[in-house]
Amino acid sequence: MNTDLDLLIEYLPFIIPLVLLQVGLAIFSVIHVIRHPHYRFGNQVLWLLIVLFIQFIGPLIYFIAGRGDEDGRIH
Amino acid sequence: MSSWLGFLKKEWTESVKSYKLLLTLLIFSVLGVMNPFIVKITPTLMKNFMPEGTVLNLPDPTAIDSWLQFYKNFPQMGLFIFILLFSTMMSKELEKGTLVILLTKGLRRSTVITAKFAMGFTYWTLAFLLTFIITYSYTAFYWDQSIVQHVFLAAGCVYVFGLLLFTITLWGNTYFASAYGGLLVTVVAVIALFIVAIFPESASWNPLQLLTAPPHMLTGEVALVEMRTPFIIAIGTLFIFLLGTIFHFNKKRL
Repeated sequence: MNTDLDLLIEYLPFIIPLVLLQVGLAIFSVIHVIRHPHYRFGNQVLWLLIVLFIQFIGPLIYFIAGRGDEDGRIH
Repeated sequence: MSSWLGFLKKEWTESVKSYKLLLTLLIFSVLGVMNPFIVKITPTLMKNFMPEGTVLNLPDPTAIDSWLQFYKNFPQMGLFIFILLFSTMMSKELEKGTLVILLTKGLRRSTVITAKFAMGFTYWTLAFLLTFIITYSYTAFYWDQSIVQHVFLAAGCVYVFGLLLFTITLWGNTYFASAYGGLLVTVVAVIALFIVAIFPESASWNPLQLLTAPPHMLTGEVALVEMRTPFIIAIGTLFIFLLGTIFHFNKKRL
C-alpha cells in the first residue's frame, strides 16, 4: 500500500491539473446540457451520459456536433 | 481600419460564444500535460502490468522522449481538433447568408477574409503556445533539457505547418461553401503531400518535412539548413492560398 501512495504523490503534479480540467469540464458541460435542452440530434439523457462518462472527448463532441444552434432560446 | 477591427471583434465574440475559446484552452492544456505524463508513467505501467519475474530493460525516459510525445500528439490530435473546430468559419456564414447584410452596408470583402484569417492565426498561436509552454515546463522540471537541440526552432516548424493547413482549410471552406468541402480539401492536400514524400528527393522541399523532421532536429540528425526550403515553400504556399481565398471571395456570388 505504501508504494502505491508514493506513486500517487510522485505523479501528483500531473494528476491535479488533469483532474481539475476533467471535472470542471464535465460540470460545465452538464450544466450546459441541462440549461439548453435543444440538440442537433439525440436527447438529454444521451448527452448527459456522453458528457459525464466519456472523458474530454465527450464534451468536445457535444460542443462541436450536439449543441443546438439556437442556444435554447426558442420556447 | 475601424471596420476591420470591428469585424475582428465580431469574430472574437462569435468564437467565445460558440465555446471555441473554452475548447481550445482546455484541449491544448490537456495535451500539454499529457505529453510528459505519458512518458513519465510508461515504465511504471509496464512494470506493474508485466507478470512477476519478467525482466525488463527499459531505459529511463529522457527529455527527448517527452518532446517526441509532443511531436506525436500535437500534430495529430491537436492539429486535427483545431482544423475541425475552425473548419466552419466561412461556410456557416455563407450557408446562413449572414454576410450579405454587412457587405451591402459597405464592408470590404477582403476585410472578411483577412479578419477571419487573423482570428484563426490568433487561435492557432494561442493553442500552440499553451501546449508548448506546458510541455516545456514539465520537461524542464523532470528532466535535463540540455541534451535536446533546437527546441524552439523544431516547434516553430510544426507551428508554421499548422498555419499552412489552416489557410488551406479556409480556402476550401470559402470555395466550396460547406464545412465538408474545407475538410476534404485539407485531407486531400495532406494525402498529396504524403504521396510526394514517398520520393526521397522531395525531402529537400516538401512542406511535410516541417511535420516529420522536428523529432530528428532535436537529436541533431537533421541540420537546420535543410529546413530552409520547406519553410520558405510553406510560407509561400500559405500566402498563395490566402490571396487565392481573397480573390475568389471578391468574385463569389452570395
